[in-house]
Amino acid sequence: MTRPILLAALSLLAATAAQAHVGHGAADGFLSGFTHPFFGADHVVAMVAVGLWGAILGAPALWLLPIVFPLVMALGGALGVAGVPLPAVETGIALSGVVLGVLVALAIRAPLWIAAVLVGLFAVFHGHAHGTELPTAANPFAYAAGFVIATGLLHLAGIAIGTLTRSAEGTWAVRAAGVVVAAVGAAFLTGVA
Amino acid sequence: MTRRAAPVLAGVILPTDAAAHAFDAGADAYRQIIEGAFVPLADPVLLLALLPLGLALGIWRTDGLSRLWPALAVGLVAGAAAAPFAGVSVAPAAILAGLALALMGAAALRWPVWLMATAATATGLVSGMAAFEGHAFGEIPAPVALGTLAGALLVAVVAAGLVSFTRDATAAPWVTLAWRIAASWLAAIALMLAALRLA
Repeated sequence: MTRPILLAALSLLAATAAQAHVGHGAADGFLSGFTHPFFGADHVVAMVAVGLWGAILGAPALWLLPIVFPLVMALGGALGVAGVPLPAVETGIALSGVVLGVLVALAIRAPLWIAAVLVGLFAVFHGHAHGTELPTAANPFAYAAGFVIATGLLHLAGIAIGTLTRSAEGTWAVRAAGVVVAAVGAAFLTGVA
Repeated sequence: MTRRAAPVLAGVILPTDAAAHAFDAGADAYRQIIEGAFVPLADPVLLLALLPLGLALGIWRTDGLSRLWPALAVGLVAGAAAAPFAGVSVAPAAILAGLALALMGAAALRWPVWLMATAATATGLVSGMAAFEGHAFGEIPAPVALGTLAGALLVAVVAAGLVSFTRDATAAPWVTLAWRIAASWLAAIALMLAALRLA
């Protein structure tokens, strides 16, 4: 009986501060928000695909889509923060990977307004998923700033990769990336991932 | 020679510690001005109101800042004066003003001068109110208040100046596009923060 009590007392004395969710400063909030989009493969591929598709569509879609996505995503985030329910959020996110991946893989050149509406529609799902997590963030401003900047940088990464479309071989590489994006989206959609 | 040397010797012996840069009389005031100047830099609400204003002005015209900074300054001073009457709702109002300006910057339309002047004054007004909200008249020392107003003006001026400078330095269209994308990111951040404040 004495030994368990002794062990319990030792563990109580030896315990340090709780480490879960440490750091509630602005830097931690920013880092938390910045890294958040990278932890979901379905988010990452969809955001990169937006940039890839923009590169395929060319100007003005090239710069318009990376403007539309964060803005509408924030709108979806606001809905999530406000507690407005949105059905099939995870399905919408996975579907965004499939659809955007197919559009890139087939190098489909949709009219600008269709591209903007499509990307905006998917952005609502992505934003809503993150918005529901925002209120618990340590520093909401820093978290939101990091999150939006990371999303934008993923778009820019897609656009940068999309510059490969200037050559025939590069175009095939980009289209192959679209296949990968669609496959990842399909894996999430079917529950494989 | 001895008579001449005596005052010099006395001058060497008598001085106390070097007093250069001591500013004894105004040291506290200077520190308070600096303390106030950092208030807008550390306040997300003020940053989200004033940074978009700067970007919007610079994107609107490369001389947008030089034309409209007096409107911003007037708004800031008026906001500081009206702050004792402001409620807590002034912070979301400032974020919404920043959201509107960020969208205006991202859209990059040919906004009329009166609209931009009104936006600058209104943003200054709500920013000034938000900066001093919760404080009664005379509660904040004058140097701190002065520093806060200067810091707030500086945030918008530096943002607008950077946009104007880069646009003047290169005529490449991507420069303006990059600033428009930055404005859209600020709009997204402001929208999420506004939702949090209002939820």
